[in-house]
Amino acid sequence: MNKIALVGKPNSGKSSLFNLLTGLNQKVGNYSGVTVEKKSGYLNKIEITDLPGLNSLWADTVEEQISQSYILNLIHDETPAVLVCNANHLRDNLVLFSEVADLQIPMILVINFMDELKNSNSSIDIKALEARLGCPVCLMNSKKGTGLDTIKQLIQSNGFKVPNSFCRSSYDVFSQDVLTNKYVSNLLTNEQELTEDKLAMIEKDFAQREMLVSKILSGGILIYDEINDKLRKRTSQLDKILLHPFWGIIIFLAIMFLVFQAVFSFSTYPMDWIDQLFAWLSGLVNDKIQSSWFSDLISDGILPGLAGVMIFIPQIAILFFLLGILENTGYLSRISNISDAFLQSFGLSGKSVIPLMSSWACAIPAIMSTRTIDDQRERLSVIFAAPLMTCSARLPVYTILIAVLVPEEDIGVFGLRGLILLMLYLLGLASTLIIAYIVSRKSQYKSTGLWTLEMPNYRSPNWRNVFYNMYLKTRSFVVEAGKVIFTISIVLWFLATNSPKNEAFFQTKYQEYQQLSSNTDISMDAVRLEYSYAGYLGKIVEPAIKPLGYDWKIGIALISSFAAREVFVGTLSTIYSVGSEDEQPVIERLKKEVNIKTGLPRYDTATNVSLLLFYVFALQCMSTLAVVRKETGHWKFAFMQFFVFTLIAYVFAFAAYQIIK
Amino acid sequence: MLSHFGVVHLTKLKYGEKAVVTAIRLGFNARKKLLTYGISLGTIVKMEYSPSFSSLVNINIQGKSFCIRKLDAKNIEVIKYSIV
Repeated sequence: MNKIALVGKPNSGKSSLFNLLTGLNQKVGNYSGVTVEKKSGYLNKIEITDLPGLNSLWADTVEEQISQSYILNLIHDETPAVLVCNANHLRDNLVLFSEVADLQIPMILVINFMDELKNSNSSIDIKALEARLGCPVCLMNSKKGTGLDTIKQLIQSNGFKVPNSFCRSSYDVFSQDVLTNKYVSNLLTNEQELTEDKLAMIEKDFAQREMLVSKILSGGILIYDEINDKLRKRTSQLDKILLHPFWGIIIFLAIMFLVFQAVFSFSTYPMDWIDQLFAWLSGLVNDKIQSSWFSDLISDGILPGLAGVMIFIPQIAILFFLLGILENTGYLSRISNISDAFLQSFGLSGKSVIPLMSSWACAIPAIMSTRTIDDQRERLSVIFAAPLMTCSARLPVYTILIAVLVPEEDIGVFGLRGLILLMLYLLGLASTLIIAYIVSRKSQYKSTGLWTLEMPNYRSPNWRNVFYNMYLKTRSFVVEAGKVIFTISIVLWFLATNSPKNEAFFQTKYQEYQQLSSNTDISMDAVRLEYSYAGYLGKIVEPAIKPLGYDWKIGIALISSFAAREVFVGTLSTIYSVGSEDEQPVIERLKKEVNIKTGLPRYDTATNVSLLLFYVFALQCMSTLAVVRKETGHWKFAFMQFFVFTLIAYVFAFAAYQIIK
Repeated sequence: MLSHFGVVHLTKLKYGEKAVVTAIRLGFNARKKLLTYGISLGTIVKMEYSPSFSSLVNINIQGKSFCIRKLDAKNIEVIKYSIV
C-alpha cells in the first residue's frame, strides 16, 4: 500500500485529519479540466489524497462527481480509504459509509468531534460498532489531535479491512448463468439518464440503507440525547440573534465592515514594509553594482516585478485568515443565508457575498475566495464581474482625477469630492451586479437546480486549519499567479526603459525641449520615456484614444498602469517631470497642463470624467488576469474579460467625452 | 385546498414544528439531491427558521441543519406531526 484516500461528507472534519496527518507537506492543485482543488500530502511514504466532500456516491455537484470517480477507481487500484464521520450526525454519515463499504474497499472509519458528543451526554459503543461494521473504528478530536496516534498506527500498519456488505446483493443480476453485480454501473447514472424508475431505485436504495444503519446503531450502540444536545441548543439560540431580521443584518454589516477594514487597513503597514524593502534592495543594487543594463534589469525590472507579487501577500493572507475563522466558526453559512435574498435577484446567491465584498479591497484574493461557491455558473459570474468593484488600487487614480476635476467644496455637510468618490463606488457596485446578472443568464453552465446551504453548529475555530488554509492559499498565489505577474512586469520594464534611439538623440531632444518651453522643467527621464518603446506605443495608440480626449502621454500612463492601476500616478509624475509621486504636486501639474492646439486645459472636465469612467470599467490589472487564468484554468476566459471590460470602458469614456466636450 | 386535508407547504411550518414529507413536486435531479440530504417521502422534518424577509427556510433532518430556498420548499408538501 503506498496511497490512501480520505473520504467524507462536507463539514465532517476530513480536512482537519488531512492537516494532522500530513502537516505542511501538502500539494495543492486542480483536478484536470476542472477547478476543483486537489489536495495531497504524505505520511512518511504513504500518499494521502483529501477528496472533495460528498453527500453521497449518487453524485450531484462537480465536486461530488470527482470524488465519486476517484472512489470508484480505488477498486481497481486496490487503494484503501479512510472515511471521516461527524459524530453529531453519525446516522446520516453512516449512510455514506454503507455506500462506500458496498464497493468492498478496505476501510477505516474515523469518528470526529467526539468531545462534542460527550458534552451532549451522548455516547457510542465503539467495540460493538466495529464488530457490526466489520472494519476498524477510531475516535478523534481533530481540534486537540486526540486519537491521531491510533489512526496513524492503523494506516502505517495497513490495518484496513473490507467492511460487511450493506445493500450490495440488491444489485446482483443473474443472466446466462452469470451473476453480475450492477452497483457500480448504477452509481454512474448521469443527470440526463435519470428517469422515474431510476429515481425510484435510488429512493429504495436510500431507504434500505437508512433502515440498515438504524439497525446497526440500535441496541445501545448510539445513545443520542436530543434534549440535552448543548451544541444544537447553543446554535439555535445564536441563530435567533444572528439570523434576526434586524439584529442579524446589523451584526452581519458590522462583521463585514471589520473584515473589509482588516483587509484594507491592516495590510497597509506590511504592504508599505514590502514596498520599502524592495525600494531599499533596488537602491542597494544601484550602489553596489556598477551601472549597466544588468543592474537596471535587477533594480528596475526584477525587484519591482517581485515586489508586484509580494505586495499582495498581506491582503491575501489577512482575507483568508479571516475567512478561515468565519468558516470554522460556522458564521460563513449565516452570512450566505442573510444575503441570499438580495443577491438572488442578480442571478447570484448568498455564497457570493464574501468574494464581492472582498473585491473592494482587492480583486485577487476575492477571485481566489470564489472556491467556496459550489455552483459553477455562479462562480464564473462572480469571477467575471468582481473586478468591477472599486478596489484599493483605483483610489490613488480617483483621488488625483477628482482633485483636478472639482474644487474642495462642501454641499451641506458632505464634501463634493467625497460625494463623487461615493458615486464611483456605487457605479462600480451597480455595474458588478448587472454584469454578474448578464453572465449568469448567458452562461453555458447549467445551474445545479436545487440550491442548498448546510448550517453547521457554531464552534470555536480550529486554529491549525485556519493557519494551514491561509498559508496554502498564499503559497499558491505566489507560485502560480506570481510567475505571470513577474514576467509581465519585466516586459513592461523593458518597454519603458529601452528605446530604438541612442543617448545622443535624447540629449538633442532634451536641449530642444528646454529651448521651446522655457517655463517647463523637462527632465531627461521624461524624454527617455517619450522615446522608449512604451512611448512609441503611446503614440501608436493615440489615434484610438483621441476620441476619448486622451493624448499620447495619457496613452503611456494607460499602458504602464496595466501593471497595476496605481502606476498611472507614478507614470504621470515621470511624464510631467514632477520628480515626486506625492499626490499634491501631480495634481497641481495636471491642472496647469495645456492643450497646445486649443490653449485650453489638457485635463478639462470632459477628459477627466472620461478618464474616471475608463478606470471604473477597464481591467487595468495584469495580476487579476493572472489569477482569473489560474482559477478558471484557461486564458480564454481572462482575455474575454479583458476585452469586454475594455470595450465597456471605451464606450462609456467615449460617450462621456463627446457629450461633455 | 391542501389545508383541508392537513397538508401544507413546507414554508407554512412555524419555528420548532415537525412534519412528515408527503409529496415532493420537484424535478428528478432536485429530488435526488434532497435524498442525499436525507429528505424523501415519509421523512420527518423540523422547521428551524423561516423569517419573512429571507429567501430561505432552515430545516433540520435528524439533527442536521440546512437551508433550501422558499421557491423549492413550496414544492414540498408536509403534514404536521406530533406525538401526544
